[in-house]
Amino acid sequence: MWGWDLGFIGMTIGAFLVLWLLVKGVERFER
Amino acid sequence: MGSAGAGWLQFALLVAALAACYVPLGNYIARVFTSEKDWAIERGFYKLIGIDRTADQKWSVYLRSILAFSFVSVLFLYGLQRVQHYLPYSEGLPGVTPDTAWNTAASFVTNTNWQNYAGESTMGYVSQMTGLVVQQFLSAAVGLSVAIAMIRGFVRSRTDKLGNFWVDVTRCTVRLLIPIAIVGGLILIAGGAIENFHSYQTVTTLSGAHQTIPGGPVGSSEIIKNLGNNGGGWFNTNAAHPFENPNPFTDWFIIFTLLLIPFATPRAFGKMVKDNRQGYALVAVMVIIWAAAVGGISFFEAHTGTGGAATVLAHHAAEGTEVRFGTPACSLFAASTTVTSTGAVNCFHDSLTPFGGGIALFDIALGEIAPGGIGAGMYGILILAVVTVFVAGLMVGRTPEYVGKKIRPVEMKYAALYFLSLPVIILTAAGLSIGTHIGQRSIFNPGPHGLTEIVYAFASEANNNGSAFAGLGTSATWYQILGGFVMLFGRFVPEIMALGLAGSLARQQPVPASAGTLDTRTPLFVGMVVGVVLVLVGLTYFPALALGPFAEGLH
Repeated sequence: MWGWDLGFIGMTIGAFLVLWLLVKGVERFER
Repeated sequence: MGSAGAGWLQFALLVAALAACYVPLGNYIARVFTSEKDWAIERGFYKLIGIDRTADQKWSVYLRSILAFSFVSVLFLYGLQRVQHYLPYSEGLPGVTPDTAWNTAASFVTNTNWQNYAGESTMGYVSQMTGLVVQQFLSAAVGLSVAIAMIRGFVRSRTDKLGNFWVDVTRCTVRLLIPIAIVGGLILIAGGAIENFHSYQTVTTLSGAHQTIPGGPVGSSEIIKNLGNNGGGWFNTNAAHPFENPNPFTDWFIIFTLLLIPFATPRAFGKMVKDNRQGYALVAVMVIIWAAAVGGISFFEAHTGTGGAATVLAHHAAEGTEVRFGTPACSLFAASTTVTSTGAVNCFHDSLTPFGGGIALFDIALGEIAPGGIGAGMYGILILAVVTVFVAGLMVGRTPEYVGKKIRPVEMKYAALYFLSLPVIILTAAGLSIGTHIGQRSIFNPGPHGLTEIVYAFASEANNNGSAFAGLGTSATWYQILGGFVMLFGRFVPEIMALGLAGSLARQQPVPASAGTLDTRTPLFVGMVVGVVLVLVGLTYFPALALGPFAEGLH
């Protein structure tokens, strides 16, 4: 079960990291 | 009075009640977000979390605040569900399984409230109250905050600041959602919704069988479920459960509350841009689409020609309908819950007639802009208005302008990315599920209806609606994980584009209206926006609609 928990926490970090990078990409596009 | 007459009377009363609230509530929403004064409780909260309330944020900082807040919320909600068996009032229920806990955390933080679980047999009282219901307030407040930041893009000029997210989300919760939820919750409880902390009772029925009667503080959760366009029911059958929605009055009141804030937000827009007629134009678009959805679903659910012998004998499409409310109330509820991002149900959407269900799917595919989810509907329709003035500008060779701001290529890129993001997410996820063995294993209905169920599931998740067709095993790990990602990206990618567009508009200098400016306050513009909505969504989803509900209905 702990493996699943770590996996889902990792997926959450991954999803928000993608979104964070998307914001960064859009900022770069603006400049 | 027949049930059809009662249904139309309910619709007329809804229109009257919403029209009466439009000006006062819209003005109040505008005042909440433009007032210079903080309430004492707000000042205390800012001090507690170390926020400088006077510090305005650039669009990207505003957005990063939303992402950070939502990231922490997902992790907190996930952890809370996993350890619920250690919490009081858990009714002996075990911790929620990891895949369901993650899907549910993503679902409630994104205002979707897609539920791959049955509330009464999965969630304890504390998990629901301190986790799910709290997110029903906060996710709604986040949505409205984004809409307000977008409106500031039109109001402000020569700045890259759109406001302070922490101030907006606090004010929305404290000044708007909580006061209405207290009054509305008391009305629901007075109307018969249960409110207790009783343990589940096991009783012996007249036939000698045993039945477990659940309890819970349902009335106080039911109000924010609808007011915040969340939709996640305390019980598995949602608003078809008699403890959650006891009678026709509460049914009407629930529909009223889920439409209340989204329909009043255009007034706040008009007030903030100092031109109330702009708000009237947008609310007219919303009303036209909502009324057409109500009329369309009502027609097909009452029409006995396409439903087979059972429908003919019952004089309407009775399967899956809660008999306490009848088909007209089911149609009104289904249309209202799918044009907003609510997703609460009082009947079984999988049992709607093919064309009735197709309209519900089309409503969701519209991006829920009529009137849409709390805040999400407002920024969605503002982007549609931007697209409309761009199309109009192309036709007559003028530089498009909207509410004193030029719509240049950079703004159109944001608008195009906004609209492309959702179909890409929905159709990719649906295609992966149809085209892989792991996805196919959970499809229980082959043929057009099965296709509709899959497309509906991902459209509902990506647009943060949360209602579902049944017949698809979405509790399988594939759908739990894929659905979680669809909800997160379906919520935040469009918000990134909306706030990027708002930032771009805020940096502009306002353009005074001239003889060449398209008047966006006229019936002509209202008709153009409706046309653009239908063409954009119709073309994007036509193949899926043709192979799903149309094929099933014409078979």
